[in-house]
Amino acid sequence: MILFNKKWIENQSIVEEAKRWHISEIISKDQYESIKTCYATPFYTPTLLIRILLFIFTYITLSGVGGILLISLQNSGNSTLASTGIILGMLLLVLLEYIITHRKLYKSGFEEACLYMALWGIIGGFLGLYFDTAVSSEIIPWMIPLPFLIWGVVRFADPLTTAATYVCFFAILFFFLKQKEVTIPLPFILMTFSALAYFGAHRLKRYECAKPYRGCLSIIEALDLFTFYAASNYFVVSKTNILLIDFFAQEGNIFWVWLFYVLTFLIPLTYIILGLIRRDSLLLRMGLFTSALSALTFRYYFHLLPPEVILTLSGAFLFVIAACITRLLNVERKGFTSQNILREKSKGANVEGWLIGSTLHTTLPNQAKPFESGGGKFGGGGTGGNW
Amino acid sequence: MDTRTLQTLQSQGLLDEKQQEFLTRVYDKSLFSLFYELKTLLYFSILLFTTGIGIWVYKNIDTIGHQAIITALSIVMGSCFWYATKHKSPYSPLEVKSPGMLYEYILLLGSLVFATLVGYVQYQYGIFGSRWELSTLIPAIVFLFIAYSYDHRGILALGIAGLASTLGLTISPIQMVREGFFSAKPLILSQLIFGVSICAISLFLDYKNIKKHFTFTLLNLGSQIAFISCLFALFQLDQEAVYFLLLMILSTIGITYALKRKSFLFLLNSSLYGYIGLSYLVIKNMKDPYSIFCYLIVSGGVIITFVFKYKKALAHS
Repeated sequence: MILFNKKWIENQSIVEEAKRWHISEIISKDQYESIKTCYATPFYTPTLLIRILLFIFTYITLSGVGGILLISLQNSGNSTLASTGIILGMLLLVLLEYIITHRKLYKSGFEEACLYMALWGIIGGFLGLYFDTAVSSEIIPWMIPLPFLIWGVVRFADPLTTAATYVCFFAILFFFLKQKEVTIPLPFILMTFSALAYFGAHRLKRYECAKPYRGCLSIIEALDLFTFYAASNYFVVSKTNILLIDFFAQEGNIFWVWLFYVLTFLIPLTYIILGLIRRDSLLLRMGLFTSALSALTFRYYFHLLPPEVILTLSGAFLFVIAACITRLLNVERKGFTSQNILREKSKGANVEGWLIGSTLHTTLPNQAKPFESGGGKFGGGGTGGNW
Repeated sequence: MDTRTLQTLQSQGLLDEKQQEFLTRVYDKSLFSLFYELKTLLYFSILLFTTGIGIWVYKNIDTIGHQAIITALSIVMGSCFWYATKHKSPYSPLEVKSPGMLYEYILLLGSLVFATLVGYVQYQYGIFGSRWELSTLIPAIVFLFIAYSYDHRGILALGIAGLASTLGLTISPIQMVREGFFSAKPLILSQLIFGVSICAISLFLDYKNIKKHFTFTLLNLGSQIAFISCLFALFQLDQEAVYFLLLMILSTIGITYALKRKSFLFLLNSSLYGYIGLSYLVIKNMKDPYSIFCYLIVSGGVIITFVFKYKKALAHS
């Protein structure tokens, strides 16, 4: 099972939560220090930024090694290159397990970079060997990475590897159905798969043995919610219909058009309502995100008003709603509040300020050059870009 | 977190009963915060609204509808500033606690609408004559005044962006990188001087204990602009040695400051940009790909070794 010491992972998470309590002024500094001492672990887990630094430079170092090997083997055949990638990837995995165990690394950036490089070498190698064969299949390239990705998830509980595993499973199902020329039921089967996977992951989270994997299970839940929505979104279904089934089909020429229109709007609303009832942040946030996608879908097919009017009115409407709810929930009502109870560990205010400045300034007219009348064209040099 | 863990912490004397009860309510969701969701909604609604009015005002400039739009926007702006002023705390050179999330975003909305209106007034009535840059400079100065007066980091960043815009520059790293490859020498050097100036001013204000909590935002913006401009000066312009030396000086200053103030962001930025500049020169002068890969291995290895060797010192920081 998981490579890392489970007790240490649990203790580390307690200390991390205690830090949030201290930042949120729920506990004192002395209390936080006491918890930190009581639940100290030998893990080396640096701050996010050191983690990024270690990740980048580990990747650079390993890329250098990879580059030298490529140069050395450039005149060999594809199969030699592929086999070398596989062997070195496996050696790197073995080395990684040794380093993690002895150096007690955990979320350090170093082991993530090594893991991704190792998986890249192994999966890339097997895919290289497969593409050298005469076999042609849309499913097999998605099946090849699976055992190694699952190994990465089980052994390291890595979020990115978890996401890649889910994508592979989803792709296998999709191409299998495509191969069997399953057209009309395709979206519904994908939705069923997503729903089952969501409930499965949600259920698994309750078990004690799944504690170290809760982060990975949350990733699966998020992806399930997204694919459940995407499989029913009218735009996705319509375009997929054209791509897969009838290249010359007109948009709208799909079975039960009305159902997909309804689902495109109903599903985000359902997520939001369920998120509020069950007090589930993931459901709620996915509901907000998919609502935005549904709005874009609606805008793509129906042009009721000019874009600037839509933007202004929707912005004003959303602002009024958000402001009213914020004001209403300034005091706790039925267990809901707009106060920030548990602040995040990072220096959010600084990041937020910088984000606002970097993004919102692009909405301001740049007056460096005169405007054309009536057309409302923006001119000016320098700040027309987006973050 | 499991609520049983909270009970364990209380039984160990690490939490008192009141804290344990409160945290139990949080983790079993009987107290549920919508803070981040509402904040995101407020941010995106302002983004949509200000983007929309920015276009709508100018598209209707010659129509009767535009008077109504301008009146409506003036009312919106006035209401926002009235609300913000009503809830504002007195000025202090120290950090002033915000009355709340809504206050911050209403103030932000009012400021953005103000800038749009200034632009309109210049376009429609030409109050600044042919001095178009004043229509970005005036809002930028007003933003900086509002930022310090109302203690708002986002508006501070907007003020810096406005100043940059007046000079024909940008603060967006992506925009800088996109345009950097095509920029002329004066623009790159202007950007570099602008970035260094922002850093210098922020350090001066920090030394004078004026809104020290703004130092991070100002330094972050200024250092990003300075580093990226310096890199492009190294890539695009002649006198590589001069710009490389300048980059190394900026990186050294950045790393020293980061270690002194225990800021990992500046440590990351300063070391990364310095590394990119050094690698550019090394790789450019190496003809052999084998040597380039050896350089990557050695340089990456040195940094990893440094981080692991001094991990305790970095962790305590």
